[in-house]
Amino acid sequence: MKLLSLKRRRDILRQKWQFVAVIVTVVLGVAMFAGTFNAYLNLGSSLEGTYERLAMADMTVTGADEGFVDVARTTSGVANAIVRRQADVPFEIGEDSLIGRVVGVPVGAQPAINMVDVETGGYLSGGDGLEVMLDTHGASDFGIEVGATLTIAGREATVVAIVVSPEYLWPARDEQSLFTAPKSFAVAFVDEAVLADLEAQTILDQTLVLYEEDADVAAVDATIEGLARSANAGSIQPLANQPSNNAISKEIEGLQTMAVAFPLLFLAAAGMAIYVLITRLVFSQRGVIGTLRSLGISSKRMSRHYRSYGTMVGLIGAGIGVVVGGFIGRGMTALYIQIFGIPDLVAAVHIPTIILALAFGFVAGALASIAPSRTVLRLAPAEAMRGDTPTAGGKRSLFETLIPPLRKAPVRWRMTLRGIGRNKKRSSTMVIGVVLAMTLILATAGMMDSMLTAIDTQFQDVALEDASIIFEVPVTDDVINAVADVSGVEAAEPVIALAATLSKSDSSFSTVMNGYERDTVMHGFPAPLPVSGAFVGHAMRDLLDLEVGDIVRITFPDLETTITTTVEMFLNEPLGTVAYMSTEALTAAIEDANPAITADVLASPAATTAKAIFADGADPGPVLDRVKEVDGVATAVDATKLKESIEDFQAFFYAFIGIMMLFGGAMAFALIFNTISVNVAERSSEFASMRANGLTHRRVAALIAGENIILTAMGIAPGLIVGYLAAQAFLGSLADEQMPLQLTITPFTWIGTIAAMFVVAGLSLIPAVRAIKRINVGEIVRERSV
Amino acid sequence: MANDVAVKASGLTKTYGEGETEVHALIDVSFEIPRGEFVVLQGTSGSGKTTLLNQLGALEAPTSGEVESNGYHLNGLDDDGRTGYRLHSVGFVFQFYNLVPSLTAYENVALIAELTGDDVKDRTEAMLDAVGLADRMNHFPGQMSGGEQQRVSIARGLVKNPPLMLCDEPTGALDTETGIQVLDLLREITDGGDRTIVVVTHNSQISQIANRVIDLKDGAVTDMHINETPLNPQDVAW
Repeated sequence: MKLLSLKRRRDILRQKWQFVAVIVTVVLGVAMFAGTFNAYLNLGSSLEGTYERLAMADMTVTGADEGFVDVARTTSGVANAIVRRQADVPFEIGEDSLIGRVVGVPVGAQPAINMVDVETGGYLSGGDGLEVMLDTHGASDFGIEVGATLTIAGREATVVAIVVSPEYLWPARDEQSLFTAPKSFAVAFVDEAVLADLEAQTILDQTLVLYEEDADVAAVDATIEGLARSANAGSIQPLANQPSNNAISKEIEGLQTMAVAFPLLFLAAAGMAIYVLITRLVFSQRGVIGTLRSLGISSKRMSRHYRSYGTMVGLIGAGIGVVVGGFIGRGMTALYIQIFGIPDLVAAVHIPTIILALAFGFVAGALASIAPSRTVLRLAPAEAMRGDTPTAGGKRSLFETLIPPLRKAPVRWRMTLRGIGRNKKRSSTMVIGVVLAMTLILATAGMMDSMLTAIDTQFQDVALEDASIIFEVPVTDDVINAVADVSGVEAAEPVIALAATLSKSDSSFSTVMNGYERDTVMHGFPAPLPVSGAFVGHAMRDLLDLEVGDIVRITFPDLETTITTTVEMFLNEPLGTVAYMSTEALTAAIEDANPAITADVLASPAATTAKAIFADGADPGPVLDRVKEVDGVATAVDATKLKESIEDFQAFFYAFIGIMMLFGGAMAFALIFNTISVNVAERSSEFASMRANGLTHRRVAALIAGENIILTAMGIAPGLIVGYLAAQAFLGSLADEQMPLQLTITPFTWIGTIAAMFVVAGLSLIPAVRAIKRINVGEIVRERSV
Repeated sequence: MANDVAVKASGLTKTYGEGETEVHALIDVSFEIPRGEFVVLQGTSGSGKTTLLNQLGALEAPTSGEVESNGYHLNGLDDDGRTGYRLHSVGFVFQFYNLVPSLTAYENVALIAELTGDDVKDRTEAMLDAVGLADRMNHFPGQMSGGEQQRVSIARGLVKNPPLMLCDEPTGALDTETGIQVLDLLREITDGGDRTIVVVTHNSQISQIANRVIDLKDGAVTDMHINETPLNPQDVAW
């Protein structure tokens, strides 16, 4: 019926700001869903595309017996398998030295698995001298271009290409070192034949396995893993655990969580706002409804008419939200692609996402309008036309019952308290709105607090060193003493770091075994390292079903050695899940298990580095420069650079959290604004009468403000609880062994969130106060609407 | 304005809208109401009587002209000034009572009593007693009849002891018997005192109980006469 549509349009225009507030809430929810979910799908597709184009290995097995590659290649579900070599060796780039990685590849043709994408220059041609293709991250850190030279394991090499490797989209050295400080790591791809001749303590044989496109990944993983164990493999790394893939996948998973959870909050809030608005509309149009019913319009049609307000608001919000979400999704995808340097950008608009987003908006509007529109069915025309509003019975508030002295409070206060119970649905909506907004803010702010606390704990209480020092000579006492004697260095200690696989029964976990001095000052342990036995990261308790006192098997693939030791303590460290033994215990255990691996072998620069603490007040820059000048020192890395690197990684995340908090504030504003507007509209006659009796508009506004503040306060406690639980669930979905985050919410966040709710409630009052000021007392007191 | 004049309107004009939609609700209305009188403003629907009442109560500002009421020059007052005037000098009684539904009878009256002086409890109870609601003061509006609600409304208007009571169709929503009781009450509160009561009504019978009757038609005063022998409400043939 066209005239009903016209009525609907005019009704909406008459209450445009309330409808705008509701539509904005729907837009925020739908845009967030459409944008984040599109970005999630696009980022996944981009990564998949790059992996597929460059034949990223589905499994990397290190140190398996010689025949393993043939066995793997003929396994069902496997498309191909090859062997390659890899070694960590000293690099000298300009004035900087570091331990970099060289990876062997064929000359003249890409490897069949783990190809590289040549950004500039040309693929290895087998020309004169040592040619290398440098990974783009290292090239960027050092400002290297094609034609530059560097020294790798003592040999001069020429950079012939800058490449992107699917293995190093995120430049992580290993599973436990997802973050590397700038200029502390670089990857070079060299002729595989040359690699064998390089001076490296350990050259790893790696079998790269590529699965068929339609393979059952889990099943093939299990088969290959079993075969690799039988072939005495030192390390078995499925794609899911591959460091770069792991880092990016965690981001993608995080996006997926946010793409679903947060928009649901917004749509729930929008639903409530729509409910309040349409309930008010039906309430105020009882006379119109009665008249139209008496003129022959069926109650079902009238009910549909009022339901259409909700569906229309939902669809308009969803339509705008999808468009805004399209931009958000495109921007987020581009930003992520840039951060991770994924060469293949898929920025598709996913039709199912759009349909789903539109459906979300529609369903939120339709569901929210069902209840108020059904009240139309129950209205008798004659009763509705009288325009009588149901008489509110009136009763004392719960506050007065619970706190008897309030019964003696000034009537204005009692009126405020009773105002809360007058329309329980409206009041509940406002309380729930506060809870939802706090949930959104606490979930995101809690994530940020936890991250920042983890980083602070890691660099203030756990990793106490000011610098990590990498050597190009065996790390002897003399070398360490020479570092310790540098002016500005207070202490220096050797630290062993070995790739290790800890296992118990059939469970295993690849990580790093660190050897520290028992009374180390470089690392914060809850107790001195044990004479024998190991401290292990807390996540291993579940991963390996370990308890303190259990015997754990530790395999060092680089050393082809396996030891056993007892678990002495679980550590709750914020970054990484690693293992620790005292240097003496670790060295002795390895030597016992494999007499060929002596303390001298472990002192090689590939296995042992040093950590140093600077004297109070020492300027780190000059001290680092002096350390680098010590004979045998390859490079020294400022520990704060690693912290900065981690913080940089989080920067985008923090920006996202900031936006979430703004959205949360906007959502709370929209919901509270609507609730207050409806409150004022419903009680305009009452307020007008009070104004006529001599109450100033400020005094009337104070009544509403009082109700508003009490309702906000009522939402605070449940908001804090639900917000905390949501933050815990959100963090739990993102935490893993690499970042076993524990929820921390700082007092500032608690107080800030509470304060933000009151500020938003206060801001939402401004339009209401203006509405009270604009009340036409003379006109309204003549109408019967109290 | 002489001391014995409660309200004086001079050249009062009120126009709503503009252009083709312009409506002249009041046209050059002038009169004086002596202190202590029971005045009826009567006229048909749309005659401008409620608009005039709103001018006297400072609920609306006139387009032109002046109103003086009990020492207040209403034209010169800002919003706070008009609010203060209403709080201390005017009691309103509305057709539909306009009580706050979440407050009891006592609290509806006490709300205003608290803003206008001490002894809130005594004044409120005395006023409710005066309107015959001593035993209903803890009831909420939803638990009271229309007549009882209107009496609460009168008590609320009177509790500030205003020199002027403005009543807009105070019996319009009541049955005859209850209406008579309410008029009795209004008549009682002026008898022998300085308080002036202005009642707006379209019921011409009510004019029989007034001291003074002002007739309005199309926004203008068509007649103003003094009723030398006002009747008791019970004596009027309703």
